[in-house]
Order: sequence, then C-alpha cells, then structure tokens
Amino acid sequence: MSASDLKHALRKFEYPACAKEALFKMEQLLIGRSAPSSKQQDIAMDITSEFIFCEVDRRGVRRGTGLNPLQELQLIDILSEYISTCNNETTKNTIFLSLFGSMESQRKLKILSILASMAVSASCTPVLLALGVWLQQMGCSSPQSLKLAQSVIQDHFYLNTTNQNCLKSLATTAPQFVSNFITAVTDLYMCDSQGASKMPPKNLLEVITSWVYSNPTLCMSAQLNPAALPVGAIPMAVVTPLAGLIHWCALASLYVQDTNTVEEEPPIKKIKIEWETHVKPNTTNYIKESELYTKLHLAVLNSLRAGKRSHLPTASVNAQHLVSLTPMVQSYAHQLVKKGFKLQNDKKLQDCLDRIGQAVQVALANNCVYGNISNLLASLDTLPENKLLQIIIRKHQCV
Amino acid sequence: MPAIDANMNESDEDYIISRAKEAQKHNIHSAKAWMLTAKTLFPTNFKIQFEAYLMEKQSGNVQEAAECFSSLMGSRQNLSDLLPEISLIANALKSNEPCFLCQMFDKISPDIQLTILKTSVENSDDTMEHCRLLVLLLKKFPQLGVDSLVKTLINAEKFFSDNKYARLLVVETLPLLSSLESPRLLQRLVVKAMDFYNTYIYEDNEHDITDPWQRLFSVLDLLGKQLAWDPYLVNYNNTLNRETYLQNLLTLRSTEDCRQLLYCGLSFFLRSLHEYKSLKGNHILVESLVDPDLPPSKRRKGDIEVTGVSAYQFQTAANCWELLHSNDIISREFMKLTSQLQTKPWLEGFTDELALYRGQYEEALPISNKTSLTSNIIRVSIHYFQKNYTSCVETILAALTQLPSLDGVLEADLIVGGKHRHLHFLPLTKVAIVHYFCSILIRILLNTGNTADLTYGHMLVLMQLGWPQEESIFLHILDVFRHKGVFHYHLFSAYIIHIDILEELSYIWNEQGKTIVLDILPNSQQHLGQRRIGTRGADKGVKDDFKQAMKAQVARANESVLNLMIQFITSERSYLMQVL
Repeated sequence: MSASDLKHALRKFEYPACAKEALFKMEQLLIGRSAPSSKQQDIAMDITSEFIFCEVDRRGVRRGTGLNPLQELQLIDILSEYISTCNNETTKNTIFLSLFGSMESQRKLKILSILASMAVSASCTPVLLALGVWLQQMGCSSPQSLKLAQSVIQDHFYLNTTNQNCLKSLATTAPQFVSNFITAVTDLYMCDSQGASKMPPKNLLEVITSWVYSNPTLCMSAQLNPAALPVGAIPMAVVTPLAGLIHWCALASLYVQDTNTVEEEPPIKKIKIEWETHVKPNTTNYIKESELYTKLHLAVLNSLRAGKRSHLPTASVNAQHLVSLTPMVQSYAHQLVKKGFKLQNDKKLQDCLDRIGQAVQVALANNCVYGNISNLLASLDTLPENKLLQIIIRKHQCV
Repeated sequence: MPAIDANMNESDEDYIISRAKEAQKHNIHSAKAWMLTAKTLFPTNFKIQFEAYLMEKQSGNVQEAAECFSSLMGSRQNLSDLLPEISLIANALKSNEPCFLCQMFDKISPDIQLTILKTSVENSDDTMEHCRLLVLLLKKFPQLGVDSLVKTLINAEKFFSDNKYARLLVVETLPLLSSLESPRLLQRLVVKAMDFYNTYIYEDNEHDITDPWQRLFSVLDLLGKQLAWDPYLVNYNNTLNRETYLQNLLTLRSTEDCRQLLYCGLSFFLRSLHEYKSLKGNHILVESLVDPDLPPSKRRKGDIEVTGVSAYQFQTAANCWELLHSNDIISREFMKLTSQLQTKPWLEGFTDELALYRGQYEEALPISNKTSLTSNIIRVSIHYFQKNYTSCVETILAALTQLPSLDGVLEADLIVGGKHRHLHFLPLTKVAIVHYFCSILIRILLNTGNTADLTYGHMLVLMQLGWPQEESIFLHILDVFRHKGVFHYHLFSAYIIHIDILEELSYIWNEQGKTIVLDILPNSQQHLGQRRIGTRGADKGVKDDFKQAMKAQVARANESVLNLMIQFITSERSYLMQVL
C-alpha cells in the first residue's frame, strides 16, 4: 500500500478515530523482522504528524493550532488504551518511541506529560514501562526528560499529597520507570553550587526514600531489565539514580535546616481552600527531613551492595559524577573559612564528608564504580580533612 | 587534604566502630551506614563484622543479623571468637521457644547452620551438653547419620550412673534413627532401649514418656528390618493380642539364629511382666482347690488353671519365660542379655511364683527364716499339696495371728470345677485368707479318711465361711448321717450358726423319717449320754430342747462367721490335731 493510499484510507476517519486507525497503520509500517526502511519511517512520521498530533494538514502545511484540549484528552485516552492492550513489548516501545522519540515540539511533550501523570495516578503499568524506556532512550537528564519529571512532580508531589501509598507501590510494578524517573529527579535539585536554593519537596523525598529503602535492587532495575527496543535501535546507556542520590544525601548534610519551628509550619498550599481548618502535622509519624536523608543514604548504600549480593551487573555509578560533588563541597568550605570557622569542627561539613566517604567506599568495595577511579580518589583528596576519607583514600591507593 | 597527624593512637577500625556506636544512640540508619562502610573497609576484621552483627541483633533485624552472622561464619579463624555467640544460638535452639536467635538461625543457609551446630557440638566440654547439641544437630540434619552420636552416647562413661544419657539416647536420639550400618551397634541400642524403658516404667515417677513399650518396639523394628525379621513380631500392635503373639514366637524355637526370639521374646516378656506386676498389687499366687462336682471352667487352657487378678498376664509372662528357657542355648543367651538390664523385675516374686506355677515346691517354699504372712500362706499352700498336714495346720495357726486388718470379700473362684491343678491369685485380705485356710482344712479333714463325727462336725463348721462353695461335701456328710443314724458333735452350739446348715439339719431331723439322732447340745448342759435329742425318743421335752437349741443357734446368725472361724481354728487346735 502506497503512502497516498494509506493517507487516503485514514482521511475517511474523523478525529479521534483517525488517530486510532493511524496507530495500527504505523504498526504495519514499522514492525517487521528487519528494521523499517527510511521511506517507511518517513511515511510513519507523516502519518503521526497529520493523523495523530494534527501538526500538519493534508498538504503537509504546518497548522498553527494543533489539537484542541478535548482532542488532546481523546488522544491520551487512545494512546493509553493502545499501549495497555498491546501485548508485544517491542511493538509497544517501537510505536511509543516513534510517536514521542524525536521531540522538539512542546505540544507533544505536554501531551506526554499528561499521559505520564495519568499513568502514575492510575498505576497504569504498561504506560509507565513505556515511559521508562522513553526516559532511558531520551537520556534521563535530557531537557525533555527533566521536563516530564517536573510535570509529574508538579501533579503528584505538590498538588496531591494523599497518594503516597499508591506511589510507593510503583517501585514494584514499574521499577524501570521509577528508577529512570529518580535519575531525572536527582538532576532537578541540589545540582549547582547554589544547591541550597533548590531542595526537593519533602513529599517527593519521602516517596523516593521509601522506594529505594524498600527495594534495594530498584536503582539497578533499568540495568537488570534491558528495554525491548525497536529493531535496529541503539540502546542508550542506563544511568542509575545512585550517583544523583549520593549527591543529594551528601549535600543535604550541608543544606537541610532542621529546626522545629520551620517544620511545624503547614506546607504552603497553592490552592487555598476556605473551609479547610488548620491541621497539625501528625507528630507520631513525623520524620525530620534530615532523618529522611539519613535513611535515604543508608538505602543507597544497601542498593550499592545489592548488586554484588545478587550477582548483578554492577557498573552503576560513574566516577566522574561523584567527582562533580567536590566543587560544591569545596565552595561550602570556602564560605566557612571566610567566616573564620574551623573546618574540622563544622558538623555539617564533616557529616557531608562522612557520607561521601561512606558512599564511595561501599560503591568501590562492591565494584559499582566505572570510569576513572584514581581521578575520583585524587579529587576526594582535595576535600577538607576528614578521617574516614583519609582511611578510604589510603586503603584504595594501596591496592 | 592535609597530612594525617593527630589522633592516630586510635586504630581505623576502632575509630569507625566508635562512630557507629555513637550514631547508634540517636539514629540507627546512620549507625548502619557506618557499619556498612566498616564492613567493606575491613571485610576480614572480626571486630567490625561482629559489631555489625550485634547492631542488627540489637535492632531486632532477623534477616540482616542472619546475613552478618553468616558472613562471620564464613571465615574459619573467626570460629573461636564466635563460640560464645554460637553457644547462645545453640541454647536458644535447645530451649525450643521462639526467640530472635532461633528465627535468625532459620534464615541462615543450611551449610552454615550445620557449621554452627557442629562447632557448638565440638566445643561443648560436658558430654551431656555435647550429646544434647548433637541431638539438636541431628534433628536439623538427619542426613548426617546418627551413628556418631549414638556411639558417643553409648560409650559415655556416665551412661550407667546418669540416666539422663540413656534418656537422651533412647528417647531423643533413637527416633531420629532410620537405619544404622552396624547391626552390632543396633543390637546394643536395642538392649539400651530395653534397659531404659524397663527401668523407666518401674522407677520413674514422672511418667512423662508416652507409650514406652511402643517406643521400644519401634527400636526393635529398626533391628528387625536390618536382620530381616518377621515384621509381625516387631510390630507393637501385634503384642496386644498376647495369645497370637506368643504362638508366633513359639514358631521361632527351632531357628538357628535365636536373636529374633530372644529380643522380641524378652521385650514381650518384660511387657507382660510389667502388666502382671502392675495388676497384681496385693495378691499372692497360691495353690488353690478344685471340685470335681462343679462344672468345669471354660476359660481353662492347658493342664493348669490360674485364676484371680493378673492371672492371664502372669501366664503370658510365665509361658514366655519358659519359651526363653526352652533350650540351653536360648537360656544362656537370655542370661547374657538380661545381665545387661539394670532392673530385673522377675527377681522380685516372679521367679518364686513361677516355681510354684511349675510345681517346683522345694524352690517355691520360702526359706525358714521368713515368717511373714505371705511366706506363711505360701507355706500353707505347699505343705497342703505335699500332704504335710501337720505342718500345714501349724502354719495356718501361725498365719492367723498375722492377719491384715482389711476384711475384703469372698473369692468366688477359689474353688473351680474339674480335676486339674488350679492356682489362684489370692488377695491379702482377712476374708480371702481365712476362707482359703478353711477350704484347705476341709480338704485335709476329708483326706484323712477319718469318719469320726468330730471330723464331720469340724468340716461343717469350716464350710460356713465359704458357703455354699462346699455344698457337695455338705450333702455327702448328710448322707453319712442318714446312713449312721446319729451325729454327735459337742462343738455344735459353739460354732455352727449358718442358717442354711441349721435349716438342713432341722429338716432331716423333722422330716427324714425320724430315724436320726442328733447329739449336738453342749457338754455344759449335761445332756450328753443321758438325754439324746432324737426323733427316736418320743420324749416331747427332748424335742423342745432341740428346737430351743436350734433357735439359739439361729439367733446367732448375724455373728461374724469370719471371727468365728478364726476363733474355732485357734481354740480347737487340739481337736484339729487330734483328727490328724
């Protein structure tokens, strides 16, 4: 069937029926024993633009408006239904990546973000798994991935804080998604020298801590379960959330202000509800943010061990990623020196260095670090004095 | 980073442990992070690994503690330092109560569990402790084979002095045994088990072991399987049917290898003996009496009838004993085997009763310095059957002074129908003993062949206690009276008070053709020789006298016949002897 015949057939349908039909046509074009030809891919892209996202009209001219909000919802409905009922992982991922894989369009990203949000709230595993593959193939730290992560955070960790149990279960139903999602999230907070200005919301921190603490292999799940990619596609390197979480925990020692007066303030609400009375935080279940980071830190250490214990591939932490911690710590130390404090006596700094030491040591001992390890040790040696770091450096330089 | 200078007197390990312990005070997660780091930094350092373990243990993390302990166990050089903890675990397991260490133990892989238990076994100084731990080990790892434990136990020096070993071996260990390579060892075990359970049932007051005999037979079963014995004989349930079981044992008499007969027979014998002994209580075996005029008993099997409590069990034990002594080889092996048993229940009473049962009177006769009531009763029994009547009566007289205070009741089966030999388990009660004596005295009087009125009169007196058991003799005596036409007994008014006898005598005096002279008024009334109460004399006064005398006797009908008998035998000793 030629391209024009295909399009002709699809033009008989109105939106959204044509989008639904288009998905099956794409399947015919893209799924086969061998990789689709570039011509087939072009046709698929044309169909996507015209019949699914309505970016161009029948003559291929760009349309200004695209989908209206109702059509967006109709499309999201069709997509989640299609993904949920597709019983072949490769087919599903092929279609999903071809729809959203090359994304310059902010409109598409918006649709994908809504789809992701809905999948999270509905615990729709097939969609979440497809999103996990998408995050990995786009690169978890790519602008698109960060945007998607931000959108999910906005929907589920700011606006809605009553869904923790539902969110916690995702770590077991869609671990690849959760793992890649955390990787993206770690890049959103505490990642520049002014880290203190951008801390993750407590709700997010709680859920991530729970995820990692309860599932020691979660952070490796994208490594453990290679994505079923389209024929001929190049798998992107998996970046585990571990390095990012090590950053968080180390820097949290420096940035988290745990004072009771601050903690007892109710969280700032974006929407003010008139009749809502002031609810005191439940003190029995109340965990300080600093304690959450301590727990998360232990969870990270356990995850680092999990690889070795279950004989899994363990190259999960990039040495360079850890090296990038040092300038942040050093700049904090400079501030202290400037104020005339002694570095050995600063508890926050020493806690931070202890955590860095612990994470590096456990990661090295479990063969989790890849990249230039001697460079990592050298960079640790430039950090302010800390007994644990000294022990670790001595130990690994001897080897 | 500045050069390392100060505070180096503390070792790296100690530094990290101290940080972990410090952190443990306020945040367990932080403490664990330190411990995790320490463990990877010093993977072979015992102190650190052990601290990590302790920390998990203190926080009650079963899985983590198990992992820590497993990794500690991974290195052999740690073992000596782990001994205290290993013994804590072993103790926890022994206690059989749910606890942290038991749960932890369950989470440890089997090979390390094995090492833990083996180490605890190897390092227990006390043999008892050692064996207990071995039992624990074998309960968890039966595939290890129980042989070594069994050997240790059986060779334990204290085995004989300390029953705890035997108990551990027999009760705890043997059930774990499914087979044993060495039949010799197994044979020793069977003997141990016999010895233990046999002693247990006689001496243990707690009785906390259920079905000791069944347990003994399950050990026999092991040996039986190995030596291809008849499965019937090693099955406990079959021993419940004593008769059939004994019949099955009997078929083994001629087999060359007498072990099967010996072990099964001895077990069965011990069991029957115990049943007999526990039933027997305060009964003693005596030669008893038969009456050819009574219908023969249906229960009798063989030439000898044994009646009374525990008779059946006694006969089973006795027959089994005979079987185990049926030839020289078996007797010798039996001696060898039983010499290994500490408790020999047959030595107390059973062998004497067995001698009596076999009619070996010389053996059964108590030695002369034994003057207990029991010995005297047995002497009475034997003297009577040896027709040594004077000694018999003298012994009866001696025994009458020793009667127990308990009255008891008449034994219905003291005399059975037939002409065979009859033995009876006589209860040691006043009535039963005196009844037995009276019955014997009647037979003695009968056997003298003396036809004097005095003899018949004594018999009438003596048969009152067991009445109507000797009715046939009574009827015989009445026939004699009718034939002779006269009965002269001056002790009549003193000792004959039984209403039936009085009635019978009145009846023949009144109705039987008025041909009988009954001279039964006491001497004191001076009627003897002058005024005969008879049917022949038409003297009405005489008739009235007789009626009066009878009335007087009937009035005494409620007196204790028992006491009357004792009084009679004791007081009329010279008359009795005179008859003899």
